[in-house]
Amino acid sequence: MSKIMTPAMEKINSRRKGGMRGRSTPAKDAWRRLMRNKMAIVGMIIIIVLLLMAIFAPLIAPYGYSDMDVINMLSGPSKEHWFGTDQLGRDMLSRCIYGARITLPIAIFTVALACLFGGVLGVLCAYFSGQFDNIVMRILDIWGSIPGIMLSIAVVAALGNNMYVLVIGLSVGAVPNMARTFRGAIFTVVDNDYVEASRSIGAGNFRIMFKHLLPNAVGPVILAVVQLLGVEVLCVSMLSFLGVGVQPPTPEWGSLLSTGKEFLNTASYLCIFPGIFIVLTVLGFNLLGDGLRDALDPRLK
Amino acid sequence: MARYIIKRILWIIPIMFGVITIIFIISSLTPGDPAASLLGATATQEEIDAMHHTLGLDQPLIKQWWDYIVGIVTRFDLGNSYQTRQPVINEVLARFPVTLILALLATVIGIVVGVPLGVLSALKQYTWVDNVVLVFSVLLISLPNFWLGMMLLNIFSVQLGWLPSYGITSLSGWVLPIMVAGLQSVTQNIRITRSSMLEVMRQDYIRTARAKGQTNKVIVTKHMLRNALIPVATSVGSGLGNQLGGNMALESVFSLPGVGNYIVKAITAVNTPSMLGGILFVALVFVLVNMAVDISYVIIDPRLKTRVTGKKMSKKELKKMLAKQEVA
Repeated sequence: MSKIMTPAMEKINSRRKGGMRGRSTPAKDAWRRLMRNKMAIVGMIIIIVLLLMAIFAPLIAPYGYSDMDVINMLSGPSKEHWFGTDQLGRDMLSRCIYGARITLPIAIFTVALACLFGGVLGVLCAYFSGQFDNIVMRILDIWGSIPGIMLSIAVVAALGNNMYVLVIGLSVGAVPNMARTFRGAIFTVVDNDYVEASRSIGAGNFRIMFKHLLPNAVGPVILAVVQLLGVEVLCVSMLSFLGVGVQPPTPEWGSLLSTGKEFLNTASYLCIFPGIFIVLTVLGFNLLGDGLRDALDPRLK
Repeated sequence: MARYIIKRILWIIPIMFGVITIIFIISSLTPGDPAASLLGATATQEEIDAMHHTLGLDQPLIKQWWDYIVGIVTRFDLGNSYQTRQPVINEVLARFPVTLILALLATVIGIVVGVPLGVLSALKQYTWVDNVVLVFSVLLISLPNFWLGMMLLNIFSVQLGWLPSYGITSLSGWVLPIMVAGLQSVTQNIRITRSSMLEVMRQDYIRTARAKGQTNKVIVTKHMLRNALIPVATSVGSGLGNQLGGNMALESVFSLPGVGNYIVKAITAVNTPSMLGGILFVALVFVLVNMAVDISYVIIDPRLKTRVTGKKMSKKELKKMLAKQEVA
């Protein structure tokens, strides 16, 4: 046998070596495309680092988030306090690190709740379509015609200032869009033959919806979740900044900014650092989201 | 098409009904006694009871809800502010121009700067131009607008002293808020325009135009832009709506006397009627803007025109037709 390889054969060979283990599925293809996208990987690394920071905050933070260094109040960045100290002498670096423990869980739970309700509504709408779909969509239209952030503010202001209410309020603002995403995603697969096939062997509606339809429509949903996470981090910090939601002694990034705003003229570092954490988080989710969008787009193969 | 437009305009009625109802539900969930808040701490029990009666709070909830809707529809009655005792609608209307100007100017900047950059980025895909524009836009879209505002305020007012840090007594006070709001609009337009252009560039009719030897200039301006700008137009419209509702924190940072700042101040003062009145007002404006966007969408997109006016076969009709065929 000759050892000469045509370029085409070489391509095939290199692909074999390049880890084409098992069958190629759409999910695997998308994952491979995502891993080739440098920006998406940067985003993913940012998010992982921030999550680790939140989990191991007590180990990483040089001080406790409420420890006061009375001698060094409102001192700028220094060797002892990298990000400086606030008006009570609390270390800003530690407060920013602990802040990840508050902002990130709130954003994650908000998205989870929005997914749960929006998901159920969206899937039911797409599956049953017809009159049911019509009625629910019209209700969601009305619901969604109040700007999400304003609805959240109204709900939080009405139900009281604590983190649980904040999660509920924020997800109330996010449900309509989430439901539309789920509905649209299911609509793209609901006419497939396997739906008919599973019905013919006696699968129930519930089984078809959540066992067959949802896993096949998961691409757009993942994309929406990642994008929504970034948006919710912005919303959480904006609400706390406005004094709705997380209240000042808690080191949430937005409420750190709200306190820092009063010292903008004299100690601007109080505003700079918490803001950088917000930007990094949102940037991470946006980069990952953009990468996912490209990876999931079959036309860009 | 006229039928669609009329239908879309009439659809406003149930939407407004629903929006007002949602706000009513939230306001009735809000703890605290409105009568006591309106009268202040010195009021006697009799005065509070009398106020309950004048406000209609002794009525059943359904009646209160109906009165609330009737009051808004007939008299634009959003209640009275706890602080100033003035009708909320007057206070909101006095502040609306500031919010509107900010939103409009930001939108204009967004179109003038964002759309060309988006087109350029798409035409030069995979080059450094595209990369720079992309990085710039993803960075900017990740900035909380109120934080960006504070940073610019710190640089230009505190450090350099070029611009005033407070209010809009002079024109220069507008520069920073408009810049921040405008940048947001710019990034949004860049992203939408770019992806819409890339979508159009892959279409068959572009290949056809190239194949028949059309010049690049005509292809870009006539074939690509005309089609690519349709989604951009809707996004500009909904962006305007978002600007009207979403600049609360920004107005608060720059102490602009707009509706957003009014709502923020009402939140801190636990002034429920002002807060919910302001939110309701913005929501209703948002509904109107979205309606206008939907209608303009049909007008500018000829493909949608036929889809809207063309007769669609309902499932019932389809079933009937199939049944008829079977019989025949």
